[in-house]
Amino acid sequence: MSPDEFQQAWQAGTSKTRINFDADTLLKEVQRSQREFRTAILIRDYREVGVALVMLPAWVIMGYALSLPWTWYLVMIGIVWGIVFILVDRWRHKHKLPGPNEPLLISAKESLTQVEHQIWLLRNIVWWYLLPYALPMFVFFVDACRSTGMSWPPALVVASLPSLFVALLYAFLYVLNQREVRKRLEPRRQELLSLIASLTDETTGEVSGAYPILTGKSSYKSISPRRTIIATLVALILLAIGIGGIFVFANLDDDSYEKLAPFTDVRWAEDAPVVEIDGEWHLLFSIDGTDVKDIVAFCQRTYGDKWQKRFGEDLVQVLTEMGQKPRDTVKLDVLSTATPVARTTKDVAMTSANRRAVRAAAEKREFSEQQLEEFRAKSRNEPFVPLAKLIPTLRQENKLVGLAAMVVVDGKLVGSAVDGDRKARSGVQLSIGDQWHLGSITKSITATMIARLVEAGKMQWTDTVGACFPNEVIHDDWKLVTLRQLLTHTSGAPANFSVSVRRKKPALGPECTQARREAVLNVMAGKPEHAPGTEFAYSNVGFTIAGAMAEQATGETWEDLVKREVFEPLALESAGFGPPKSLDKKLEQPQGHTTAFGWKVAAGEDADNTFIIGPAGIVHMTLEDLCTYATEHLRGELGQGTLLSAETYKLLHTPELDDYACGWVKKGPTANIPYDVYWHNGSNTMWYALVAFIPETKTVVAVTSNDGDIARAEAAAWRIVQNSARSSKDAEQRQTSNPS
Amino acid sequence: MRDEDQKALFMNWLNEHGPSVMKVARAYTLTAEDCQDLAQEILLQAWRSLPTFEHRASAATWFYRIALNTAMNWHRKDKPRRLTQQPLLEVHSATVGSNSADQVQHRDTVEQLYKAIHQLPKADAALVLLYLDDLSYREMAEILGISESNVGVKLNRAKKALSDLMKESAHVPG
Repeated sequence: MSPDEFQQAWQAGTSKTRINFDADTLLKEVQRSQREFRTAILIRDYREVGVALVMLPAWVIMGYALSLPWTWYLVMIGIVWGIVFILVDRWRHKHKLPGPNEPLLISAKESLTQVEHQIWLLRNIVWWYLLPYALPMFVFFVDACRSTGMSWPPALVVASLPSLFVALLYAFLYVLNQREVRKRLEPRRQELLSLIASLTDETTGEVSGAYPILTGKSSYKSISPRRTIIATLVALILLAIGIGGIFVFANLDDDSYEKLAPFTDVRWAEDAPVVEIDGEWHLLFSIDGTDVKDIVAFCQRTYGDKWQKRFGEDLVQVLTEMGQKPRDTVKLDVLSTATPVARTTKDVAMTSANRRAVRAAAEKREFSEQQLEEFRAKSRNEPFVPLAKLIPTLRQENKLVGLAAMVVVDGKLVGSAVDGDRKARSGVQLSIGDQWHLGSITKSITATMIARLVEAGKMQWTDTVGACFPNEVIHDDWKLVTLRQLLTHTSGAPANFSVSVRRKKPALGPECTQARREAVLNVMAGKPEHAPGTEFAYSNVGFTIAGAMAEQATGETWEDLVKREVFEPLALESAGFGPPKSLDKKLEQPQGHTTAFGWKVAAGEDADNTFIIGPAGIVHMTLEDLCTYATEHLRGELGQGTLLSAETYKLLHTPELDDYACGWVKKGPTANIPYDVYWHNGSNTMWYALVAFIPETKTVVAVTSNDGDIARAEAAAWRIVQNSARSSKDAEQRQTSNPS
Repeated sequence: MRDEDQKALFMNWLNEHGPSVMKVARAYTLTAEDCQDLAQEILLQAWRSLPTFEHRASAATWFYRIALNTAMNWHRKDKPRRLTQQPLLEVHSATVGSNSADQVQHRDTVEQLYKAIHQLPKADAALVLLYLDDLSYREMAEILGISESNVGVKLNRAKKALSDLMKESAHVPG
């Protein structure tokens, strides 16, 4: 048959075809479908934008409620960018919807434009959707880590963990989208391309599309792995450049001049610099023959308020700008302040290490001056506040889960207050009789217990490690370390045990004593970290060794010794070991908390340091018992102690090197607390406690928190101590003015 | 256009051009269910487009455009199956009681033609459908959006492809 015959047969065979339909039902159906179609379009248009619009206030509220750093709000830029991008994209492509009553070719071309635009959007989803959210999130994670006091490298490492999670989630989204491109959009595009190709003239075989890369017939088949890898590498490089940029801008102010200095610190006697060279202080007269007065005058003229800083930290820039660029070494005309013999000329190397030392010293000074000033400003006009008012205020200001304090003067309770929850968001309120984990305050208890053993003749302050463990393998440098050195952090012991020791969880009793013994012997098999007796270095290991020595000398466990020698004679009935425990599930005792990305997370009843370091920090007790314990030390300092002789207390309270005595820090009078204060604090990072006694006013102050935010808890605690010292001072003044 | 007017016009046109809709739907689907779904989709598109109908084109041309455009964009997977719905259209070949040898022959040929059309590329299938329905080159050009001369060139090729396919199917035994 010929085509014309097909045509005849077709018409003959189909001409009598009749379509039956129910007009009303059909119309209802088309109208319903029309409504659905409109709704679908509306939902599509408002879905993403709507979600983003809800996220914006949610983000602000979360940031405010959790006191998150400013970097949290960076993500909002990503959200706004997402909204704007979607709106602009919709608007630009709004009028390009293909009409079904267009000629087939035009309709197909419009469909192709649409499909290619969809492909473009999905292929570039990383740039317009994923990265604008992910980058600020990463910056926030890094900032959150930095705000905990981490330095840059560990902050970057830790922040990369949640970032990795976000990255994996995004990778999943990316793969989903690319799958959509591969499985649905690309076949559709090929179909349209061939349809268009078969409809257009052979002479004008070009197909126009909105996305030129895709318009070639064979240029786009699937996402090539090579392209994916290159795109990933480019993204990583951009990320590295971004982070590097932040790092550089955060740390360097002006990099165009070398940061070198010939001295390690500068102090000022009016306009005359006194510089530290090789650990000695010198008056400085000239640098490379230029009178220092001229240099100082130039600095004052050029840099205004910052003239001292510029002289100390940017000497290369200063001298270069004066037209006397320094070489690797400079000639300094100086006079030593220690041995004033004569002025000498020194060739001194300009090094970046010196410059760093100048900067570090300046920062330290700036920080302590600033801190002191802030402290003074705060306390200057602060009247004495009753604890009942101060504690809730400080708890809220510092966003602590709970805060409690007790003040005892001459053995009499003069004030106590508690505020907050035993467990965050539990609604169960803390009570003044609750038990608190004391962390390193335990150290003074261990030292007190050992002092009792010394008085009983079971040990001596001069007992050495070598003599205590005669049959063990101990490094020679350890052998002559004494008990007293261990209790004053001058033994040279490292700060902490290795991670593997810290991970062990032996139960208290013989098992723990054995593990403790093994752990300390293992440390002492190697060289001490510092030369014993030469410097102060705070050490949990040192106190653990002292505890192990007491166990070795008596054959008893550390906890039994502490109970018998300290808890029982002082009737500290609430005292125990590890975090306080509730007997049932009614939350009878508080729980410690950590902060994770602004959230307070209860640590449970078992989270603590390994009991191996018990002698350095695992005791718990109530505030009342803590005050009783500190009052005994206060009385001991005044020669009225019951547990130990006045001489022994003197020994326990006298600093060795630095300001550290046996489990107590001695702090001289300051503007805020004009008395000698003996104090110690402690935290296992889930709790915080501080105890202080002021012999002159017979005052004991104890502050506790079930929140491991050490910086904030510490700030609150010292405000309370100051406030309590003020009340003592007020009382003293009142007494002086009313001698009756 | 008022709703009532729109409804009246739509119903009129449907009486007249309904068969074209069904033919296009059948040409681009393989099963009766898909054919129903596509036909319904074409009618929905037509209803939606009715307010924008400009009288530059004839109703026939307009219906074909919508039918072909919808068929080209139609994918089974895109829409959930309308399970709850009654078929809105029923097709009758109106051949009951008139089974002359010619008519049987024609029906067989039509079946063969549909089979052949299913095997043609989509654009060729469209041309063949329009040709079989005896549309002029001018109408075909308007529907497809290409020049009349181009219609001639492409239609010749499509007719040849159709003939080849019909020959092949004639050789298939049974």
